[in-house]
This record gives sequence, structure tokens and C-alpha cells, in this order.
Amino acid sequence: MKYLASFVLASVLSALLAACSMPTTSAPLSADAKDYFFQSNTTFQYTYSQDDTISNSTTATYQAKLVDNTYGSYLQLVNNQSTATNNVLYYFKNQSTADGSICILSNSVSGKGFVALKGTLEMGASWYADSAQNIQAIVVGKYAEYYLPGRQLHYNDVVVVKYADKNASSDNYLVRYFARDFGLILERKVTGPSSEIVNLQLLSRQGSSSSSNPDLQHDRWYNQNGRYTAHMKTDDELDK
Amino acid sequence: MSMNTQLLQFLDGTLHPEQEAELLHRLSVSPERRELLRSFFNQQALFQRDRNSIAVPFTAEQNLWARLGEIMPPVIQNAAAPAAAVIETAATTASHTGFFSSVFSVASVAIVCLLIGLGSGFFVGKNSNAENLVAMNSAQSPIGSNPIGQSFVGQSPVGRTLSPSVHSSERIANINHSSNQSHSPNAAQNLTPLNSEAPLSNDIRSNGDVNITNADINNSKVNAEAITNSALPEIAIVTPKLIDAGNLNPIYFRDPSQFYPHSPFDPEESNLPQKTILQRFEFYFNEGIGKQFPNNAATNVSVPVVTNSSISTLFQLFPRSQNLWGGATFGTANVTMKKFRISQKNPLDPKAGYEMVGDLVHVQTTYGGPMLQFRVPEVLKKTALTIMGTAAASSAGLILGGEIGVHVDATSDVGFSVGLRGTHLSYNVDVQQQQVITQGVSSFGVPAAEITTQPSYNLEGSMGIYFHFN
Repeated sequence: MKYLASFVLASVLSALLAACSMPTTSAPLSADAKDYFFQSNTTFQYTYSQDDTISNSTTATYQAKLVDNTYGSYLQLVNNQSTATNNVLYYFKNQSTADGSICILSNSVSGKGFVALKGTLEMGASWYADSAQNIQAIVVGKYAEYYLPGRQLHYNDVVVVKYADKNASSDNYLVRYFARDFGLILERKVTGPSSEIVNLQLLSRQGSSSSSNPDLQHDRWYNQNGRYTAHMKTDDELDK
Repeated sequence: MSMNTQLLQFLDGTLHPEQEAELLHRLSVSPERRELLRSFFNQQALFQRDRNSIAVPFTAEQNLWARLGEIMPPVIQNAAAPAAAVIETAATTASHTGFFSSVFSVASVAIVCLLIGLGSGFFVGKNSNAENLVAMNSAQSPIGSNPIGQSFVGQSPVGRTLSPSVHSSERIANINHSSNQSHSPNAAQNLTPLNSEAPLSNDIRSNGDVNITNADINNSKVNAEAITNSALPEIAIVTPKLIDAGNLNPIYFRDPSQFYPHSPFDPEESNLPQKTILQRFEFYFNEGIGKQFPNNAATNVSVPVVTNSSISTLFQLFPRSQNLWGGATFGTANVTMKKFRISQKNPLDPKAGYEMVGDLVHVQTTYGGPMLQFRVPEVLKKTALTIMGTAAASSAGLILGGEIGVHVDATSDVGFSVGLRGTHLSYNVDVQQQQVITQGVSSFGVPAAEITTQPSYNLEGSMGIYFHFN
């Protein structure tokens, strides 16, 4: 009996030891849209490599800053070194709704923009990116790591969203890659079965993530003076 | 009753018939106990050889006693007579008692002889008017306090040596044995010195069954009277130093029964003879057949039959306990690992991009490392229950293994073992992934399932054969 008890005790200890060696899984991170979008931090500087239609590649650095009052609470990525009239890469902002965060990108100051990300970004999640509901966005990939062309740079926790126009050919679509805490890292434009243009890729981001303008609560809106403004309407709502 | 005691009683002939039958059965099934019995035989032969080597020739004894008779006063001669008679009687009685019990009485016999020698020296010194006298307190006579009955049970060489002179002097006659077949260790006490010529005191004469202890005490009284006027004080007035009980360490007052004299692992096996270093080794050859995890359809088809082969050796860590064994193993195992590659996400849509894919493949790895085994011996006849743990370094990564099994002695030298074994391989994929990444330039994603190391497990039935030196 004594030996049997010793044997059972040794077996239990061995099982405990084996259990300790089992891999543990950490709790999954939130997949909310705002986590994969540009941060409302005006100290950030984004350096992008941009290709044009004739395969020329240019590199530019964009500073995040608030748009003036005439454009609501949008932030913009401005190329300060450019003297061109269109020196803004994107206007962006996000807001919280009952269905989750909505992250809006716009190419021009006069445009209405489009919903780049929305809600919880699980595989297969889709939404209409424009108000006319012609552009359908769908999450086509989620990666723990994503290596940019050249495989010199990689980002963690990346979602891939495909934007397809219902009125265009199925071979023509846009794919954007968003990395957690960074925002847009890669943009690919497919124009046919064998034609593809890498429009944009994020080379680096500089700035302090603990800056004086963190937006920890994305459902709050701040004016250009940094004051909190409640119940700010979106541009789409303002246009209505 | 321990195995040692049973064997001693068996050799002495004092073991109960039923216990003797049981002992013989246990000897027939236990090589270790037979080895123990052989060791007793060897000890007996050694003692016999030693006894023969120190035998004193008869003529030398005659000369010695003749010279002693010349120099000793009559009282010494008379005092020596009963002691010699007792020795003779003890020797006679001891011939019927156990040999091994007598071995342990050699020291007591030596003490008695020493006292006899001291007594002789005392009287010799007294006759020569020497100033240095040996005081002997009759009340504290060492002989009287000595368990002389046990001391004389053995067939001591001293007793055998002295016996011829006793016969030749004919100082003692008609020695009355309580029983010639008696095996009692106190048989030597039942002596009756009836010889009226023996210069014993009247007390002894009036008590026909007085034992040797009392006789010597009375002799000591005679001696004490003889030294009344000596310069040295009597021992009786020397009081022993008293120690306060409070000053003693309480640990010395613990009940001896509280102490367990044997190994905590297996007290029964403490009776087993101690093995030599070589006998404590066991050498194994094992084969494992089992299933590997994780698996998929491809690995299930290509799974190898033999998943583990090893040679190992175990060493009994404690000489008298068969519970704990330690050793080392070296072998080759087939494990499942991930191999990475970059492939199209959708083969039908080249524009869908690329991603990293991890394929499960079988890898043959060589390992080596220490092992520790806990064994419960004699669960069944010649069968031991084992649980074993292994930690090994391999060409694939760290392997941790555990096995539960049985261990069966087929012969005294060879046996086989069967068990259920589980192994766990942990390995790092970083290096392999970096090699894959540097082989191209296109963008690609790494799914979450491929970013972490997926441990590999094997569940196997293990069979082996072992041998050891007996």
C-alpha cells in the first residue's frame, strides 16, 4: 500500500510537471477597427514609399496634424517639404458607433472620404466603403506578421482589406494592409489579371507614442485647440 | 522477524519448523536471499579458519599451566579452577548451540579472560608484597554484572584452549548440564561444582545450583578481604559522578523504537546483501511504436512504424534500495516538426498574394540525456512497476519524456520491460523561418498559426530487453 501511494504520488507529480511544460496561450487582442488605423497623434511622422504609374518610386515623409476648423476634426498627413498644392496624403479620422469604430480616409479636402475600416475586423467581415454602396470592403486576410516587398520590413498583427467596385471589372480592385497601432502600411492596386501596382508602403514612423495628444477614447472629439467637443457629427452627417 | 534473524536461527537449528519451511521457500524464489545465505556460509568458513589459525598446541598449554601452578598461591589455583570448569562446561554446551551466536560472544570471553588475568596478577603481586595492588569491589564485580551466560554460550577458542588443563588437573568433576541438548544461552549457568576439594566458599557449597556469576562474586569477596589493608581505597567508596538529567540532551532519551534503522524507501530490502558496483547496473535496449502529434492526413499516411529506438543504462542509486535508479539514454526518435515555405495564398488568383505555410513532416532526430526511474519492486512475482522521466537534448530540440511500465525478470540476468511512453519535443522555428524569408523578395503574410512553435508529441508503446550482472 505504501509503495502504491508513492507510485501514485510520483505519477501525479509527473503529470503536473508535464502540464507545466504545456504551451500557454495569451488572451487575444482586440480586433476593433480603430486599433488598426492611424493614431490621433500629431507627433507622428510617416515615411512612405510611393510608386507612380511609370514605375518611378518616391519617398516622402508626412506629418500628422489637425486640419483647420473648416474641415472639422480630421487629421491629415501633410508633406511639409512639398510645395505642391496637393501635399496631403490622406485625411483621416475615426469615430465610435454602436456597431464599433468607423475609420474614415479621404483623398481630398473636398471629398467625402470612404470607410476604410469598420467594426470588428474578423476574416470575411465586410461593409460598404462609400455612401453610395458601390465599393464593398471585405477583410481577406489576417496575419501575425506581414513582410513588405523586399522583405526588409515587417509589421505585426496586420489585416488585409480588399476594396472592390461593383461597377468595375473583378480584376480591378484595391487592397490595403493595416497594421495594429500603425495604420496603413501597404496599398496595392490591381488593374488586371497580371498587372499590379504597389502604390504605397510605409517605411517608418517616427514620433512619441506617449505624446501630449493621445486619443485614448476615440468616441471623443477634439477641436483644433485640443478642447473636447461632444457629439461632433461626421462630415457625412454634416452634409445631410 | 528479519531475514537475517531467520537465517541465523536456521543455521543454528533453532528456527521453528513452519518458519523453516517458509524460509526455504523464500530462499528458493529469491536469488538475493540465497546470496545472503551464501555470505553466511562464507563467514562461517572464515571464522573456522581463524579459529584454527590461533589454536594453541597441547604441550604449550601444559607447560603454561605447570608454570602457573608453581608461581600461584593455592587460593589462586582454587579460584581459577571453577572458572576453568565453567569455560570447559561452556565449551561443551556451546557445541550444541549456534555457531553464529558464539561469534558475538568472543568479546565477552575476552573480557572474562582479562579479568582472570588481572586477578591472577593481583594475587601474584600480593604474594610478592608489591605495593601496586588491584582493588576489586565485590559489589561491582564486572564478572557479576556481565551476562556471562551469554558470553560462554559460544565455542570460544579460549575455552577450548583451557579445557585440557582443567581435565588434567581434575579440579572439577561431575559437571552437571541442565540438558545436553539444551540450546539455551543460559545453559552455562546451570553448573554444579560438587567437588568437595574445590576451595570454594561455604556459601557456594551450600548452594548446589549457584551459577558462575555468584561463584566469581564470592571469589571476589575473598579477594577483597585479602586487600583490606592495601593502600588503595575500595572501589565501593568511589561514587560515580552524577549528571543532572536536565543537562543531558533530550535526544539521547528518545525511545530507540522511534528510530527506524533501515532505508525509508524499502525497509524489507534492507536485508538484502549489498550489491557490487557492477551488479547495480542494468543495460537496456528499447523500441517504441506509436503515434505522433500533431498530425494531418499526410503524416498519418507516412507515419513510421518504429518511432523510438534507444539504448540506456540504469544504476541503482542506493545500495540497499531498489526504488530509485538513475542513468542515461541515447537513441533516435522520429518526431513531427514544421517545415516552412512561402506559397500563393490562392493558386487560382496570383494577385491574392503570398503567405507562409507550415507543413508537418516527420524528422528523425538523435537524442541523449539523463533519466531517473522510480521502481516498485516485487509488485508481482519477479515484476516491478516503474515510472521514469527523461530529459534529453536532441538534434531537433529539447525532448522531455515520461514512461510508466513494468519490468519483468525473465532470468536472473535478463529481463524485459514494457510500458507506455510519452515524449514532448520543443523546438524553435525562428532560424528556419528566417532562412525561408531571405529566399525571396515578394511580400507575404505569416498567419498566427505559423508564428508560434507548435510542440511535438509522441505517444508510444515501449518494449525493451535488459540485462545485468548477477
